[in-house]
Amino acid sequence: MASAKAEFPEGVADHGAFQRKFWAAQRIAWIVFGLILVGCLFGAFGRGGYLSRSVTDTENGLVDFPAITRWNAPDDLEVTFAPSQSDRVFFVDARFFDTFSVEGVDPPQKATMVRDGLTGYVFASDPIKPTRITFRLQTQMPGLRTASFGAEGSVAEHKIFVFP
Amino acid sequence: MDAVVRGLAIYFVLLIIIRLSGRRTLAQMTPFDLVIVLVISETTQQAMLGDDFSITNAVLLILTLFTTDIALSYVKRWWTKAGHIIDGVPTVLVTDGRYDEVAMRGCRLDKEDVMEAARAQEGIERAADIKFAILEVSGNISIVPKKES
Repeated sequence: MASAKAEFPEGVADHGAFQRKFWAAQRIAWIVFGLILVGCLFGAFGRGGYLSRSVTDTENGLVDFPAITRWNAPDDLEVTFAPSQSDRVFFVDARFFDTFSVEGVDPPQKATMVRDGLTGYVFASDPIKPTRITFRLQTQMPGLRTASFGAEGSVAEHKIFVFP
Repeated sequence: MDAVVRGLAIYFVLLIIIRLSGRRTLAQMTPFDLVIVLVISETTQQAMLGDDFSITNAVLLILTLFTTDIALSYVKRWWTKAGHIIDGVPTVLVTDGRYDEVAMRGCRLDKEDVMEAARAQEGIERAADIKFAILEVSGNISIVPKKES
């Protein structure tokens, strides 16, 4: 009686069980690839998208900052000060500079000051319309970082995740 | 330290993604596949080098990649299963003229791909004349013709 299955050439073995498992793992991986891309579109990996930004809105101003970002990548923090007769100050603590380097500020601050261990950026204010300031940032360290920042009177601690 | 960590991270991430993307990606190098390879090399370069373009960094990175490759080759020799996972295994696509549909689907190959290899290598015109068609670890399809009796 002839063998039901031909003998494989030398060096070729029947790895059917292993291959079936591997192909199943591949298909699962493709779904994971897709989920990662969808997550990226939603901002789960930083640099744009709903999840990547966080906004704190107080009577002193609105701060839109990156909640999720990437290491060695540029990002920005936007502060919108409410109309005011006097100058406005945006404070950051030392941990902020461990997480980000400030590459630039648009429009530039009038002055910088230090108070209670916080560095303050002083900006001229518009008495009629809100003033928007953009901090051009570059991330310094990966991981979950904590930093305190905010407009004068509403400095709060925030968590920022920096992907490696 | 930075260079070694970056090199290792990119090496293993690329290895995992390429393995999980399926062998077909490497088997048929279409013009579009070439574009993918070029884009991957361009994007990984920046991630590996970071903002350090010194010769020292480049040398450290090259050493990292070569040393990892050598180390993996030993791992594959000592532990066969690791070799199967890292490089894959030969897949028998046709036995005695019959297609293994599960294997064909698993490898994302069409009968036309097998017959193309059969024509190119052995001048075979019909699948019935193929004893074995094997998708090798290298990504090539090798054809063993039936012996004429």
